[in-house]
Amino acid sequence: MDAGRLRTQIGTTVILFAFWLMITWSLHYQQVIAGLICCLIVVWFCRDILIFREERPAITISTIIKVIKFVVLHFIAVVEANIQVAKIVLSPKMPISPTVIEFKTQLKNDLCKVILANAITLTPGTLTIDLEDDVYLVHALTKQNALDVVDWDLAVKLMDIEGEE
Amino acid sequence: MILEGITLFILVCGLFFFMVGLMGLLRFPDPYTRLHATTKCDTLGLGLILFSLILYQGLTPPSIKLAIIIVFIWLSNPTGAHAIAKAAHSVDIPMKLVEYQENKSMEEDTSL
Repeated sequence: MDAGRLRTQIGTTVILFAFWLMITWSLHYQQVIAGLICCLIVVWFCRDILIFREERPAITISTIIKVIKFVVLHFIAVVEANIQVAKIVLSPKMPISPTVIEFKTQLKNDLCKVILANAITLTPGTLTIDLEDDVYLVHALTKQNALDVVDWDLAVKLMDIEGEE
Repeated sequence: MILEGITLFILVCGLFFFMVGLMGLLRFPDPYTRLHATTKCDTLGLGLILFSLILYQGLTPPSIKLAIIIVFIWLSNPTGAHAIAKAAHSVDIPMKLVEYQENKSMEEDTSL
């Protein structure tokens, strides 16, 4: 077992333990010991399927800032698109033009690809049907949505996060 | 008093998005477009409702749990939507694509 894997495992334990403290919300020694044991068991059980270094970008301060920026921008995009879909649903004529579009991404990282797929799905109006290697199959509610998703500015942001090697 | 008003307003916004999702489920023609309506409007609807509950609670342990629930909903919702869409796609449920819409609008034009 090399040092990188061990670091990922310790990091996962710390995150799980922080989550445990948040949901129990007490520092009684019984709670702390039970939580620590549970976290260690979970990490030992999943020791081969954790998100290791080769599947994710490096965690540095600049990456974290970029991720926070990405989340905020994505939240704004979700709210805007939600209002747009609400307008489509509520308009009497229902101006939908469902389109299926296939496009290639330049992302290399598995985790970044999954984040992009989930971001596309979470944004109303677009829905990732399939992700094969680096080809996305996206179903869009209107043709304009389908054209927008191909060169989406958030995908560029995600590439920026990935590029921190 | 003001806080309660804001809470109520956000709660009503959340309910509005739930209503939109439900209407989309009833109005849209095929499973894929229905997924657009239900899963997406639910994310914002549930998010706003839970956020209003957080505002109502103040900063207490339950409100932190509610915030965690929002995060997990936002993580798991697209995964579920993707699973349903992929299942529908793999058993070849037909999609109503653009041609359908054009035909439909032509029909509407002729009927008008």
